[in-house]
Amino acid sequence: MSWQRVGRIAGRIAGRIAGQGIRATLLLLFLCVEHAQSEDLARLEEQAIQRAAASVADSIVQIQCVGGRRRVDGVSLGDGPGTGLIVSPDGLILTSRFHFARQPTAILVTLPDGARLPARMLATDASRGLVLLKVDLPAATPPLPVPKAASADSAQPGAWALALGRTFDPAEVNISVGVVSATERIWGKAIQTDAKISPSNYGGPLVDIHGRVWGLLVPLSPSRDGEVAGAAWYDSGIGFAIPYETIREILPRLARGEDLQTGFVGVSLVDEQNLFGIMPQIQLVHPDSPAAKAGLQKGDRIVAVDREAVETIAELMYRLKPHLAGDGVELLIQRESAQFGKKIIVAPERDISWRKTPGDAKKRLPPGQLPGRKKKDRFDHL
Amino acid sequence: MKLSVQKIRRIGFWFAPLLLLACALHADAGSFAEKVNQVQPKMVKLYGAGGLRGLEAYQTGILISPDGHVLTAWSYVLDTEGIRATLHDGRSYDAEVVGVDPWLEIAVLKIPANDLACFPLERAVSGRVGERVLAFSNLFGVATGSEPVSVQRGVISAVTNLAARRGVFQTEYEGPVYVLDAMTNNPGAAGGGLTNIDGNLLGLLGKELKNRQDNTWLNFALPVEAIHESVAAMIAGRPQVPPQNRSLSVREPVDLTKLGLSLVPNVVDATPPFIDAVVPGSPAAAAGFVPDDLVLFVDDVLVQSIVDLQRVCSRIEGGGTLRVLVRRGEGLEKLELETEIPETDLDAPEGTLR
Repeated sequence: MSWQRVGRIAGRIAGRIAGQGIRATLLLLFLCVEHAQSEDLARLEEQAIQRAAASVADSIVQIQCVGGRRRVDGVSLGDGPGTGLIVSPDGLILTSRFHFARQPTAILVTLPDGARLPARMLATDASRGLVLLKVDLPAATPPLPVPKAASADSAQPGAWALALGRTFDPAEVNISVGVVSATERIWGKAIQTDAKISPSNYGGPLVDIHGRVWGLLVPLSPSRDGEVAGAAWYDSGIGFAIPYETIREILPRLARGEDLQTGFVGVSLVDEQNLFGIMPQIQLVHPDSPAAKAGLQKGDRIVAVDREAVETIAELMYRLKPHLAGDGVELLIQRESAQFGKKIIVAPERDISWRKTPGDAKKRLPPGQLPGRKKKDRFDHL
Repeated sequence: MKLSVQKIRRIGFWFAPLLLLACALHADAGSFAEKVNQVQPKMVKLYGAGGLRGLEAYQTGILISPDGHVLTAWSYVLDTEGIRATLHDGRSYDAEVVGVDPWLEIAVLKIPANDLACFPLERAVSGRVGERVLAFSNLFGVATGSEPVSVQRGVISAVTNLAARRGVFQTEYEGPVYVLDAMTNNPGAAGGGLTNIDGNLLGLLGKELKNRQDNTWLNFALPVEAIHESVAAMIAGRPQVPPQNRSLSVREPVDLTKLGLSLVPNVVDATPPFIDAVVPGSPAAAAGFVPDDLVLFVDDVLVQSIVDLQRVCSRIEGGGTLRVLVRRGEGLEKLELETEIPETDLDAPEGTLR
C-alpha cells in the first residue's frame, strides 16, 4: 500500500520531470531555430536582392552621350553615362529624357556583353520624361532579352523595391534598395520609392524582390515640366518610376516615332494655388485651346472628368494630368444652374495661345516669357 | 523523493536562464542591434581644427589596434596640436598623428590607451555589390558627448574605380571604392567605418565628394584592402611612397596633327571632336580616318569634346597603337592609329590641334 503510494508519487514526479525536460528541449530547439532565422533573415534578404538584380541585369544597358550643352534650366549636367532598359528583342531601349537634355551629338549604347552600338532617338514622351532609343543590331546578334514585368497591383507600399542602373561600371549593375512608398503619384502618373534615385539610375528599372519590372526610373516634379524637372530631388528618398503598364500602352506610339506630350484643356482657374480648398472654376479660357473650341466660358465650373466627380483643383489635376495630347476627355460643366457634358480633345501646350492671368501680372513676368514657360512652381494652367 | 524534488529544482534552475535567453534573442530577431553594439566600442569621435567658415571641427575614426591606433581620413581637422579622441563610452584622450598618406588621403593617429576593442585590418573582409552594410560615423557631430556614433544602413550600390575617368572626382585618390546607397558622406562622417551585417570591417568612409560625371554627391568608402598596406607602413614608421605611374610624365604625347588628323575648329564649349581633314599618306589616312568621322573613344576612354580629346591624347605616350572608335554616318568604325610620327614631316593643315 505505502509502496504503491510511493510508486504513484514517484511516477507523477518522474512524469513532471520528463514533461519539463521535453518542454525545455522544445524551447531550446525553438530558440536555436529562431536565432538561426533572425541571422538568416538578413542574409536571405541580401541574397534575394543580389539575385533580383542579376536576373534583370541582362536587360539593362549603359548609355553615353557626346557633345551638347552643359547647363539646362539651371542644372549642371555631367558627362556621366546613363542607364536604359531593353524593351524589345530587336533593339528598342527605353530610358529617361534627363540624359538627353544636353542635346547630344551622338548617342552610344553599351550592351551588358560590352558591345557598343550607335543609337538614335525615335521619340520622346515629355509627359512622363521618357525617351525611346533604337539600336541596329549587327547581323547574327541574338535577340535582346526583354525583362519580365511585375503585375501592377503587386506594387504595394512597403514592398521591397530595387532601383537599378548601369553607370559606375559597364560590366555590373548598380543597386539601391528601398521600398515602394506610394503609387499613383505625380497626378497619378508614377510609382514612388525611397530607394535612392539619381542620374546614376535614371532610365533604369524599378524592380521587385524577384527582379520583375515595376517601372522605369525618371526624375519628375509635381509642379514642373522639362527634361531636368525633379532632378533636384535626387537621392532624397523621393524617387519615381513610370509604371510598366503605362509603358506598354505608349510603346507602340513611341516606336512609330510619335512624340507624346501632356494634354492641356487650355484654361486657367480661379485661385489656382488653392489646390485643396475650392471647386475648380474657370478664370480664363485661352485662345485656340480645346476649351475655347468647346465653348467653355469664364465662370464655368468643372464638376466631373470622365464621369468621375472632382471637388478640388487637386482632384481635377489628378484626372487631367495623365492625359496625353490627342486624348479625348469628357468634362461635366456647371454653368449657373445648368449642367452639361463636353467632349474635348486635349492639346499640346504649344498649340494654345496662353494669355497672362491676373496672377501673372502680379508676378511680373520677364518680357518674352510665356506664362506657361515659367520656371517657378506652378499649377496655373490646365 | 528528496532527490526528485532536487531534480525539479535543478530543471527550474536551468529553465529560467533559458527563458531569459529566449527574451534576449527575441529582441534581436531580424535586427542588427547585436552587431552594432559590438562595433561601437571600435569607433572614435575626433575633434580638432576647424569650426570657422562652415568647416566642421570634427570627424570620425576607427580603432585598428588594442594599443590605440586610430585610422581616419586625412583632413584639415588634423591640422592642429590638440586632437581629442572620444571613445563610445566617453573616455577621452589626446591623439597624436602617427602618419599621413596624402595620396590615399588617410591618416593614422595614436591615443595613449591599452586593451581597446578594435578592428585589426588584416581581419577585414571585402564586400560585393548588393551586400547589406552598416555605416558608423559622427555625421553632423550629433553624438556630442559620451555617446556612441550614429549608425546607418544601406547596400553596396557599386564597386568601382575612381580612376576609371581621371578628373571626374575632386580627390587625389584614384583607387577602388564602395559606392553606397545610403547618405553616409556627410560633414563629420569622414573616417567612419563601413561594416557588413556580421559587423566585420569593409572600409573607411570617405570625405564629402562630388561626382563630376553627373554632379551628384557620392557616398562611398575606401575598401580596407586598398589602404591596408599604407596603414601598416605608417604604423611601422616607413616613409610613404607615391603610387606608381603618378610621377611618370609623358615625354612625347600623341600629337594628332603630326599624325595627319585635323579636327573641326573648337568654336563652342564642348565642340564634338569631328574630323575636319585627313592628310593623304599620313598615319591617320592609313588607319582609315575620313572627314566627318566623330571620335567617340580613344583606348576605351569616352571623349566628349575636342578639349577632352586633347587632354586624353596628352596623357598617352606616342609610338604605340591607339584604338579609336569613331561614328561614321549611322555606324561605328574601329580604327587603329599607329602613333609613330613619320620621318618626313607632314604639312600641318590649318586650324589644327595645339
